[in-house]
Amino acid sequence: MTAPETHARLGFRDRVERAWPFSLFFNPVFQKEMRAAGHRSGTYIARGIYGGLMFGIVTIALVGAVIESQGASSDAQALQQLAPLMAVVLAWFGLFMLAFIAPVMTVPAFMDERRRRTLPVLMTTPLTSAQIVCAKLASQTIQLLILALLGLPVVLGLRIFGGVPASFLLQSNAILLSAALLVSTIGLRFSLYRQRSDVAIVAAFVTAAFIQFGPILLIGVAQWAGASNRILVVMPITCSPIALATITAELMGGGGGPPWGSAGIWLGHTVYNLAWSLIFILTTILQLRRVLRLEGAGINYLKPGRRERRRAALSLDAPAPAAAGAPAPPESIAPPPPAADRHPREVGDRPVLWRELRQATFRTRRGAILTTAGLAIVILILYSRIEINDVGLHMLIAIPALLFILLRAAAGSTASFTSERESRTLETLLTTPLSAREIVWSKFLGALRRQWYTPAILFTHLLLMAALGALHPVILLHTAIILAGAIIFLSATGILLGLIIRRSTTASIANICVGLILWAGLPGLLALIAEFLSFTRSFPWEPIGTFLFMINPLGQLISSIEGASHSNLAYGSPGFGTYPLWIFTLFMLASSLGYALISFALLALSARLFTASAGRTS
Amino acid sequence: MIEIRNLRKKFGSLVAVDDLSLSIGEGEVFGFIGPNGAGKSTTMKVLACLLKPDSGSAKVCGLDVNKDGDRIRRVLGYMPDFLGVYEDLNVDEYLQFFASAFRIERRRRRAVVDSVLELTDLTAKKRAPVDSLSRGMQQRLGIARVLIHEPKVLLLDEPASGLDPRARIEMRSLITELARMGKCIMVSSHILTELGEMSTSIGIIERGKLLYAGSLDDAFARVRGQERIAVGLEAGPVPPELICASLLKDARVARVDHQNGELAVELAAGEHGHHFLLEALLASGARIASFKPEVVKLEDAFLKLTTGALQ
Repeated sequence: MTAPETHARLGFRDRVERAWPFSLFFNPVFQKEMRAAGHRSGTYIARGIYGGLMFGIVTIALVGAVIESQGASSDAQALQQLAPLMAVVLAWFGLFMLAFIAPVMTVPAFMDERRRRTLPVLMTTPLTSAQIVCAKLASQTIQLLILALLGLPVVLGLRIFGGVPASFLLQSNAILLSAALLVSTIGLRFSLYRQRSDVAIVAAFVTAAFIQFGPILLIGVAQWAGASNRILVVMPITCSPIALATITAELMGGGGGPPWGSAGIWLGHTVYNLAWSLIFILTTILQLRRVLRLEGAGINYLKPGRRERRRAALSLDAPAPAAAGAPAPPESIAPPPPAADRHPREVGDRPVLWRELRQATFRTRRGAILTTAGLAIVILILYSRIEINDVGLHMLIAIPALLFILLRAAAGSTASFTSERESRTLETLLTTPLSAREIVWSKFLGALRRQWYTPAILFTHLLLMAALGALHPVILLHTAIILAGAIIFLSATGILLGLIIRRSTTASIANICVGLILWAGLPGLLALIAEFLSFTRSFPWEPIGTFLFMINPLGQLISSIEGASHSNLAYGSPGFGTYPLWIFTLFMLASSLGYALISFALLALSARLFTASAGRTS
Repeated sequence: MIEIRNLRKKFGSLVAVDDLSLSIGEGEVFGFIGPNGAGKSTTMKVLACLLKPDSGSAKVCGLDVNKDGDRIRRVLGYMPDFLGVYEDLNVDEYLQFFASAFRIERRRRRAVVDSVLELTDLTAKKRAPVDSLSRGMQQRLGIARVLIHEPKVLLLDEPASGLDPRARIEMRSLITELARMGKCIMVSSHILTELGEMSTSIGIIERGKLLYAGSLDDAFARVRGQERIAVGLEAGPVPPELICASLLKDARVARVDHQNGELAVELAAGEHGHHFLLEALLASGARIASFKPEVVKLEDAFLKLTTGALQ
């Protein structure tokens, strides 16, 4: 056999191997990821939390059923009555938990490779970028499946003893698993193109929200433009919560939905999610090819100015490395031009604070201009279509803005220490005489400073509306109080968690969980307990519920906007009815002050922990 | 300047540093030698107040690492084995940042930064982003950073790792220059030739135990034991056997071997002079073609001092 023949045969075998779906997903990268996940304590903690929460919900429901039942026959009856509700709760729990956990698992996929500088090593292997991406996704999908399977015994129990139809279980699981896959692929995509995990997580959630809710906005715009109401039936197909709500409503005996029924909804929605997932997988594969070449050329493709360097690097007609699985020959890549020198700025007397305050909110000016222009267009469309006196307009702008502010505050603040640790600058910082208190507070203030953008957009809208008389000017004060409390609190918890937890992604997610538990989990749990244990009428549900509502920034903002839009400035909350401006303002102040006090205590604790966690002796 | 007594540090069941004692004086370059994982970095981190020792004591300039961390940080410069950099700063800002962190007054900062830039030959790179520097430049920047507050003690953990030969030579001359300035320098490496050329004293550590600490000359003397000199002879009227017999008459010569016109002369214990041997050879009528005292390298010292030590 001649040498060219050998090469030809090997090439053909290689191609066959790579095209084989099994090796596309289950290859050495997959094995490495599975082993690494097996060694990580976080994997088991996540499973424990997921299983524990599910167990908690089931226990509450069963306790309620047992107490309410009067005998053997009524036990079964109570369970049959309870089963549909439990199936619905578990489906919603699964949807939110899996969609929430999915990007946590995929965002570190390429970030860890980059941090450990193993991407160029991967480049030297015969693995194609498709194999790398698919293997990483497959390993994370299996972790998600394991979580989903944790609830299988309960689901089967509901099916057998509670009479929940198999079709519902199939449909709900198809929706939640496809939604989790979609968010996973988005997380994987941002893992490749974001430097910081907190930014990647926020970007992944925002993109997922845009894919799920964006079409609804478009439908709304189309309706305003005179389109038929019939296009509304498409809504459940594009949005997981609406799809799940439609099929759960059907299970609980409600109606509604598109004319083709729930079968069409779950199938259509699953296909929608899978189609988007495929798009993200393909774009990740294509981008990874470029990234591998740039990494191989020693180019930091994440730095500003990378576009020019990338263009310089890719301008030569080198074959794509991963197209045949082989890395690009180094000589085909132009050396990176030197980064532009910049005139030094004078450093202040508080160096950590100085640096933190100079961290850019946007990576590039172009990004800032495009984002602002995009938001301005959306807001102007809303202004043109909705009456400014309509409270719905303000809700439509304020609620997403607040959710983004909270997400950004929760995810962004944790990176203050984790990024120092990951870039290995913390050790150097610790050898300086800077006190733990100064470092912690500087990081905290820097985290606050980086969050100015979205509140500024929100305030611009509210200021304009106050000037036009659509809202009472007191809304500005209320919003400032509400945002201050929530942002300070989440930033302080973020600083603390960033110190305690080593991995930036885990720290970000843990802090998001703090917000979710406090502002969504506790009210949700209370609602569940009230629903399942409805026999305990004497329990003071309403004051507790009102308290949880009033410490919730979302509830506070909704009440403030509603109050400011009424001419009599009456502020409402469930349970207490309405009360005047000054009481509401005092309540907001007390709530915000409470958050601030807790935050300062957490920061003091962080400063104490800093010395110990960083290993400083004194 | 550095005093360590019976230092012990454990990580779980692993004893990283075991009963380590040593002292390093002013102007001394102490080469800390040992394989990866021997305990060099752990010892340095204890001295830099980044790790709390389990037992024993460690003092820097008379200050206890357990009690005087803040004061020690002002007199000590620690350069870790991996230099983490702030990507958003340029070289000047990076040094200003640490000058400020070390509480150097604002009006003095410019002069201090300029002087360390000049000392480390980085003035031309003043405005370059830190992460755009080559590995060698980054190591130099690391040295510049540890010098910013004029520390009396420098702890340099593998400062030459990953550097090309030219950068290594530059790093070596920089460290020698710093020692001349009176700084006490502890420098770790597992590249022995490098340490041999710049250290005035060495410590050999393996599996947490200090096997040797002392001056370089003493280490060589221990290895050498009895000094050996190879003498090449040209054919002449006096046969080599007679020359050997003549040399053995001198009490300072312990042994002489002859093979293929070359003599291997072993001096008596404690003898280091060569001139008497040269004179004796000439007196015996030998025609000398070459005269080579055996050179002992740090590698030899390391091998000899560590062989069987931990068995």
